[in-house]
Amino acid sequence: MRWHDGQPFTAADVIFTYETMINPKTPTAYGGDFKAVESVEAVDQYTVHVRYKHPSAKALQSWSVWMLPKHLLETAAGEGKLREAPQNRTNPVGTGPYLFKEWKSGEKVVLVANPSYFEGRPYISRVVYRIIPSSATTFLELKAKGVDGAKLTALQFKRQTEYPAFRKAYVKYQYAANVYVYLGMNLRDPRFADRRVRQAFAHAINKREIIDGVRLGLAREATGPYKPGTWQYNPNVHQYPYDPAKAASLLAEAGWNEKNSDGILLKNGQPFKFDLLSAQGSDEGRKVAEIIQASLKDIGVQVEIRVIEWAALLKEYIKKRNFEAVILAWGITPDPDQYDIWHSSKTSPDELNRIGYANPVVDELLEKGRGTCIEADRKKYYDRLQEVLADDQPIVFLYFRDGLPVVSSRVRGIVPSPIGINYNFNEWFVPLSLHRYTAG
Amino acid sequence: MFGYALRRLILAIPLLIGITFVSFLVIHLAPGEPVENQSGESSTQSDAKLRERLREIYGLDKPLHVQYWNWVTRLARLDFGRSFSPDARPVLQKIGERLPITLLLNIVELMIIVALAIPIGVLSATRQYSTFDKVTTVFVFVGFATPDFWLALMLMILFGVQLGWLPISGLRSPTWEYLAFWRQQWDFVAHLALPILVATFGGLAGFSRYMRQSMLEVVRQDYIQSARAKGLSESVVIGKHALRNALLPIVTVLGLSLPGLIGGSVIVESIFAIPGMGQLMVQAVFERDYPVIMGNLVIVATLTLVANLIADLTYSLVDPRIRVAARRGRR
Repeated sequence: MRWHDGQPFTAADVIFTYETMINPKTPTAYGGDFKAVESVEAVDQYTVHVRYKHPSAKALQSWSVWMLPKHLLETAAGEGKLREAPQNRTNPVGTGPYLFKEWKSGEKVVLVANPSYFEGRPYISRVVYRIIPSSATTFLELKAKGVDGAKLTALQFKRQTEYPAFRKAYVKYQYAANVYVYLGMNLRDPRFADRRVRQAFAHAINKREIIDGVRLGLAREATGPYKPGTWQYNPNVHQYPYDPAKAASLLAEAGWNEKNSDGILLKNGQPFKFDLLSAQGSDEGRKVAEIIQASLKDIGVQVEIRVIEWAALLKEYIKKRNFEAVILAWGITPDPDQYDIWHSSKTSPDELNRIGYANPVVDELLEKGRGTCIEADRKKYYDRLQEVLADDQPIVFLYFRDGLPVVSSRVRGIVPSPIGINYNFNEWFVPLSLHRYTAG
Repeated sequence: MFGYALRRLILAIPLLIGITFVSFLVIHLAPGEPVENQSGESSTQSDAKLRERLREIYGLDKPLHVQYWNWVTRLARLDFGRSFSPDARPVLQKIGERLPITLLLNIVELMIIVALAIPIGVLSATRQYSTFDKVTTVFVFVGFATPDFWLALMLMILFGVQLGWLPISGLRSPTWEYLAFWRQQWDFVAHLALPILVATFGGLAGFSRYMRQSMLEVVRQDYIQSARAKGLSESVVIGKHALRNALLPIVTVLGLSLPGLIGGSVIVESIFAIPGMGQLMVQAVFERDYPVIMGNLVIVATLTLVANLIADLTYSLVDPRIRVAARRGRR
């Protein structure tokens, strides 16, 4: 295996990458994984041995970061100036199937096939990524055959691409993306600290209605923080079917059993109302919030929606824990470790347990789950974790969004899989008779 | 004349400092901070220490007045700093690669607007309430009222999708570098046609109405009456005596639109996927990329001040009365 500039890729590069990651001068979010490493040594030119202080399930995943070429970046990394190294922009060097050709800021990135890729030269010779901010423009480019692939919105996928000419020119794909949308409640608020209230909300919210209304059916109901179809997913957890009557009785159990003249539930004379925050620019978030508002109104809970610009939402509300409820999404990793999100130690302002969830059972399962590499054991811990989370409903899990890519029908060799379509891009090809761009 | 220009220039310095101070304050008062977008905020991977580290790198851990002082002292050495976005490139470089296309678009647009607006204004004024006047009035007001993005999408559907005559977005075709030289130039012009059309259509109304108004006032003046009484032909009366005077207010309006030349239109740029200044600025604001925002503001503010000065100086060039008044005022 060789770097794009022809230098061999060796164990020295792996060790250099490791040293750069743990160097306090390197600003990276991925350094934490490498701090658990006890020692790294090169056995020979192409073998590296890594020792951990404790068993770590994420070990393998954490080493699949981008390796850094030692011969090019050693000086910059040593000075803590990795971000300013010219390789970042003018001449990035890796080992992958495509070579960097050109980047025009805000306009396009051009890649060309790497003839000496270790799995063989990819079939498509040249790839141009265009940057088009407006999804309406992207869609028109597709219609005019100006681009060969793009991502569609749910509306475009469902309603605007079902005519014969489009279906002939493009193939549409659909898979569950690694993102789920949820209703988060601040558990420091005594009303939401009561599990029955959260369970009542789960019963009062019709997930199907949200999926149909917001995503036109192009999403999958979430029952927990893992994607259906993955090894860690546990389908046998407590479910919360849409049931307003059940929701009302759960709320009554929790002490919300009177109503005022407006039909709002009361407890100790206080009406049940709260602000639901959503990020500006996310049409999806706003629509989800509106449907939840209507559903909760049916059981006597008054919701005010506030749409706030993203940076402000994070800094002023989420980080300061100054919120009652919020619509957000989590991106998930292939590995099931979600210690940072659910563990009770992760609640400081910059950390990710934003809702302030604390459950000793969950803490223990998270610690055990990341502490072993035996998948069967991990499966047990994470199955149990999903059961506890389903019972507790620390957040109301709503849905996993579908990724909706579309690619020109000239392109062959695409094999859809649960992780999408791009994983075998180097095997895609265009039959000779269908070539449109011949130069290069 | 020279002394006057110099005095104005010196006065502009404290003004500029005031502008930068206020904008620095405002942008830092806006909630949110730049480190969020780089620390994996929406993913399960995040690191609190990294955020502190980034704050340190960017100097955001220091009090605001210290940050401002650092920024100003660097600026005095013409160092605009590096962008806070992950590419960490020098601000001047980022602005430098975005500026030419925005300038080109806006200058062409402005030239077309002026070239069309002056005859439209003059003709509407000299034939007030004629059919031509009424038709152009309706036309320019429709242009004024039509939302940019809507017109852009309609034109894209017509010329790009239905007729297939013009490219829809971007600056160059994907196969641009393989085209022959003249085909390359044509490709570029074709890509700019729709954005320029959209921007021109919207800007035409203002200028042509100014021109019409100013012309209407001038033709009622006594000296136009006496020019006609001298027996001059109508074209000389309008084209020479009236037009020169009617252009005066247009000079001011033109001067004021100079800073807009580098600002760029966010809507037109976003919808046509043109990597110009407008997009750069909006992105910088969303990312709280302070060095880019401030660099941009300094340049726009400086240009506004310079443009104002140029407009004032041109004024005194074209209007002898102002020259005289300025001289008397100094005494």
